Amino acid sequence: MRELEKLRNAKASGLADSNKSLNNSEIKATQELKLDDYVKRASIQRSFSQEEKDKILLYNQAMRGVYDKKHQKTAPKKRLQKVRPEDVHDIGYELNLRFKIKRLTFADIDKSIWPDKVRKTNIVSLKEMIDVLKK
Amino acid sequence: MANEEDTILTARYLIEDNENEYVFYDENIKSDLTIVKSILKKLIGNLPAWDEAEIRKLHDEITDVLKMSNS
Repeated sequence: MRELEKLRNAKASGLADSNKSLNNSEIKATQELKLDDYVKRASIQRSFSQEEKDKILLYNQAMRGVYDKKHQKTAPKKRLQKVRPEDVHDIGYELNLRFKIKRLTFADIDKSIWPDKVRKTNIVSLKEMIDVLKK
Repeated sequence: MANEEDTILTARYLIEDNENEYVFYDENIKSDLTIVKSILKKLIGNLPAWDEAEIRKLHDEITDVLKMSNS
């Protein structure tokens, strides 16, 4: 937190010093620029030390990270009707025939289909289940 | 399974909670493997043990069916 405060001060003093050498229209335009662009522009007006530039960029990235997290939009999840046994009855029948033709027992199937991670944790996600069934 | 639609439908049937009429599709939802195995077993249905006696029995059944269809 103290580091962040220092960076915030560095940013404020950097802005103030540089603004002295800018006219009004330039200041207005500068305010609209993102800090990354501002540092590039300000370094022409006033030479920042590399350390200052690094600190300002670090602060900018840190602040942007917080902003991005706050404003992160998650895609709305699809609301679907639950899957009923009759929806998958035919699929089950087809699987039964296929395993019978291959002379497989449920133990054979169980032994071969699950990934190690699933076997270890005893938990399976929908994505993992889709991958298992795709094989 | 070759059909992607069937794959997703089956996976959803095995993993999603079916207590509510509607569910929000989420690939990250998880379920206990023991429960999933139990549902999968029920879905696939009975599979023979495939010992010698079972194979012989199946062979005889098929032979009978073929004999009947030929006569």
